[in-house]
Amino acid sequence: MPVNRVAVLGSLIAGLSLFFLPLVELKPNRLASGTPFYLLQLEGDLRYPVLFVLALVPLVLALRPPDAVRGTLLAGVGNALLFLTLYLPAVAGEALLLDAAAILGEGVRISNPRLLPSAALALGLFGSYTVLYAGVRDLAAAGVGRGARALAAWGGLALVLLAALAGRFDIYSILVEFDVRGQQLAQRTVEHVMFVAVALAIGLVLGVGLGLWAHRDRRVSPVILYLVGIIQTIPSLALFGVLLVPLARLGDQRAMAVAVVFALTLVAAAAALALFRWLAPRLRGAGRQVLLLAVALLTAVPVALLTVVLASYLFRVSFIAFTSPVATLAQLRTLMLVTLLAAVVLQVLARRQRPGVARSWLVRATWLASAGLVVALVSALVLASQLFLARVESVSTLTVRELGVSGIGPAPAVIALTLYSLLPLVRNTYAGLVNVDPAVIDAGRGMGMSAPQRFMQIELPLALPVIMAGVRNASVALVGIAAIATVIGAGGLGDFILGGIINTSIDQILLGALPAVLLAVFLDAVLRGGEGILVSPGIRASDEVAAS
Amino acid sequence: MIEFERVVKDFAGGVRAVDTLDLIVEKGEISVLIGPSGCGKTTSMRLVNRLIPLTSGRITVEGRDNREIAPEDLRRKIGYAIQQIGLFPHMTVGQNVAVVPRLLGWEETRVAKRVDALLELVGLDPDIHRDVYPRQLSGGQQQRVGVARALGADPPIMLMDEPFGAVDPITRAVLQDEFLQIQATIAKTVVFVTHDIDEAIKMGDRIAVMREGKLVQYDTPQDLLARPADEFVRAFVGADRELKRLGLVRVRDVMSAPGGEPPEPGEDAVPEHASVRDALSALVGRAFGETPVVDADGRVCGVITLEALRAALRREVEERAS
Repeated sequence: MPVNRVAVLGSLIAGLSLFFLPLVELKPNRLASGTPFYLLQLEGDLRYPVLFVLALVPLVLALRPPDAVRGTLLAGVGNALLFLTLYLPAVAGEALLLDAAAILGEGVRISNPRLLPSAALALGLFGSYTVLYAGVRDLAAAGVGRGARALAAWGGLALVLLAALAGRFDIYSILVEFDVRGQQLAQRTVEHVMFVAVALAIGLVLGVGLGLWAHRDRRVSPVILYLVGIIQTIPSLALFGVLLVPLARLGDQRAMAVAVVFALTLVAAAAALALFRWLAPRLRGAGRQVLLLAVALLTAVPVALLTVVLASYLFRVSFIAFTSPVATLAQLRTLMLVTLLAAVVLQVLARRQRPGVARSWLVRATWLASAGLVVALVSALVLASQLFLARVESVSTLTVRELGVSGIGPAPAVIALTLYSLLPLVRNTYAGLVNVDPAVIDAGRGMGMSAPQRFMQIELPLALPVIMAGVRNASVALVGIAAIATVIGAGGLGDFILGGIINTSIDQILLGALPAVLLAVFLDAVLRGGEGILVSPGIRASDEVAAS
Repeated sequence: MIEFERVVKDFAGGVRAVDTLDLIVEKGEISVLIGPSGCGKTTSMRLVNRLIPLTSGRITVEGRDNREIAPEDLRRKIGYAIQQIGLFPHMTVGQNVAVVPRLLGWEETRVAKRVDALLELVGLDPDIHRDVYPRQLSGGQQQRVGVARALGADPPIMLMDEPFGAVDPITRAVLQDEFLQIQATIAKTVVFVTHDIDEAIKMGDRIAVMREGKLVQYDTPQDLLARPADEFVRAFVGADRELKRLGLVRVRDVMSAPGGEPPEPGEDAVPEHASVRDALSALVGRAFGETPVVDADGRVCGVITLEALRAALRREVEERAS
C-alpha cells in the first residue's frame, strides 16, 4: 500500500521541531536577547500538548489507502496545524508578556518586552505546509475538483489572514515593528519596486537589443556575451563604489554640454562605422580589428551617457508619477490599473475564443486597452517630469544633477541594477533566437515574409518563452541586489535590513527581508502569468494542449 | 512555366553548385529534380523564388525574369513546401494555412473560406483540425497541412523540397497518391525535389537527373527508364529499371477479356488501376497462372496472363527500336 511519504516527512518535521526546538523567545526589550520557551513548557492549558499530538496524527493518516478521504483528512490536519502553530503561541505569549518581570527575574531592565517567533514556529509552519501539500496532492490524484482543492490548499492561510486582520497576531515582535514603521515600509517598498521596474525597463530595451545584435552578427556575439558576463562577475558593492566618482563628476556638468558631447560622439561613431564599412573589404588583419575597436569605443560613449541620464531621470520621474499625491497623477494611476486589467482580461478571452469575428474584435479591444495603458503611462511620466523640473529656470543653466544623476542615492543604484539585468536578458534573447528551428524561418522566407514580418510573426513569438524566462531571472535577481543599494543611500527595503544588522534587531531585518522575498515571489508569479498570456499554447512546455 | 537559361550558381569559396543549367518546367506539369546529395537540386529549386541569388544566367517565371519582381512578391506567388515541413508551431493549423493569404491582405472572411476549402482538399476535417496546433497532429497530417499551406493563395507555381520526406513509407505512398489526385484537378506547375527514384518516377511528368551541378538527363519517366543517357543515370535509376518501367503501365491497358471463373472470395485479384509491376507480382504468386482483374466495385473485368504481358512488352520493344 503506498504510504504518503510526503505527509510522513511533514509530520516528522513539525513534531520533532515542536518537541526539541524553542517555540518563542521572550525579549525584555527591542535589542536584548530573549529567553526561549518550548511548546510543551507552556503551562496552564491542554491546548499546547494537543498541538504536539496533532502534529503526529499525519503519521497514522499516511498509512490509509490513497483516496480522497485520506487527502481530505491530511489537508484538514495540515490547515489546522498551520493555523494553530501561529495562533497558540500568540495566546500563550500574552500570558508570558504579562508575567515578563517574574519570568525574566530581577535585575533585567524591562521596557516594552517582545515575543520573538523562534525555530520551532518556523519549522512547525514548514511541516504543516508539507502535510497540507501532501493532502492536496492526494486530492489531485483522486480527481477531486479544482474548487475543493483550492479550498484545501488555501483555507488555513485564509484563516491566518483573517486572524491577523483581527489583530490576533499583533503580539509577535515583527508585527510590533511593523506597527512602528508601517509608513516607512510602504515608502521603502515603493522605492524597491521602482528600482527593479526602471532597471528592468531600460535593461529590457538594451538587453533585447544587444541579444538581437548578437544573433544577427555572429562576429560580435562572443564579444557581447563576454562583456555582459563580465558585468555579472563584479560584486554589486564594488559596482556601486566604482560608479560613485564618475557619476558625481558627471552630475556637476551642464546638461547642454553633455548633450553636445552626446551628439558629437554619436556623429563620430556613425562616421567611424561608415568608414569601417567602406574600408573593411580593403583592410586585413590588425588594421581591421583596430578600426572595429574604435567604432565600438566611440559607440559606447553616447550609449553610456544616454543610459546613465535616462536611468537616473526615469527613476526620479517614475517615483513621482507613482507616489505623488497630485490629483491628476492619482487619476492617471487609476487609469493605468484599469487599462492594464482590461488588457489582460481581454487577451485571455481572445486566446480562448475560436478565430472569427468575435475574436478579431476582442483582439482589437486588447490593442485599444494596451494603447490606453501606454498613453496613461506616458502622460503620467510627462506630468511628473513637469513637477520634477518645476524649479529649473533655464535649459542653459540646467546641470545633469538636476536631471537626477548623482554619485550616491538612487541614480547609481538604478544604473548598476540595469547593468546586472543585462546578462540574463541578453543571453536568453540570444539563446531564444538561435534556437528557433531554421526550417521554420526558411518556410517563412519562402512564403514571402519580409525580414520584419519574420521577426515579429515567427522569431519573436518562438523565442518569447526563453526571453520571458530571462526577464523572470533578471527581476528576481534584481529584487535581491536592490537590497544592497541602501549602502549608497538609495533607500529601498535594504534600509531595514542594514539597520537591523547594525542594531542586531532581528525584527527589523525581517521587516525588510520578508517583503523582499514576497516581492520576488510575486514578481515571478506575475511574470509567469504574463508568459501564460503571451506565449502561444502551441509551444508551451506543459502538455495540457496535447491532452485536450 | 519556369525557364532556366544557362543558370550558374557559385557559392563562396568557389564551389559551383549549379553549372549552366538549361531547363524548362512546362505549365501544369510536375518536374522532378533528382540526384545524389550535393548535386545542386535543392539549390536550383531555391533559385526560382530567389531564396538564393543566382550568379549568372536567368530564370523566367511565367515569362518574366524573376529578378524583375521584388523577392517577397515573387515568393507569395509561388507555393513553398519543404522537407522538415516547417509549420509554425505557435500558430494553429488554420493560421498556418492562412499565412500567405494574410500577407497578401485578403479579407478575413475570404481567408477563412479558403482555409476550410484547402483543409478539405488535403483530406483534413476543418472543424476538427483548424484550431489545433501542429504538435497535436501526426507526421502525415503535418505534411498535409504543409501542402495546404503551400497552396494557400492558389499560386500557379509550387516548389516542393522532399515534401513527403518525414513520414513512414505507407503514409508516404498515401500522400503521394493524394497529391497526384489533387494535381489532376489544380494542374500547378511544380518543381519537385527528391532523392528517391521511385518517388520521382511516380510523381514526375518529367525527371531531371542532376550530377555535380550539371543536368545529365531530362526526360519523361518512361524514356528515362528505357533510355538512360549514360552510365551514371543507368546506375542511378537502378538495375531493376525495367521492372520500374512496368510500374508506369496500368493493368487496364494490358489485360484481356474475362474468360474463366470469377475469383473466389478472399482470392487475390488485381485492381485494374494497379500497375503492371503489381500484376507481375500477383502472377509470380500464382506461378504465372491466369490472374483476375477487378474494377473499382470489385467486379471482374478482365484477366491478366503472362502471354498478354509478353505481347505488350514485345510491342513496346519494337516501338522503341523503330
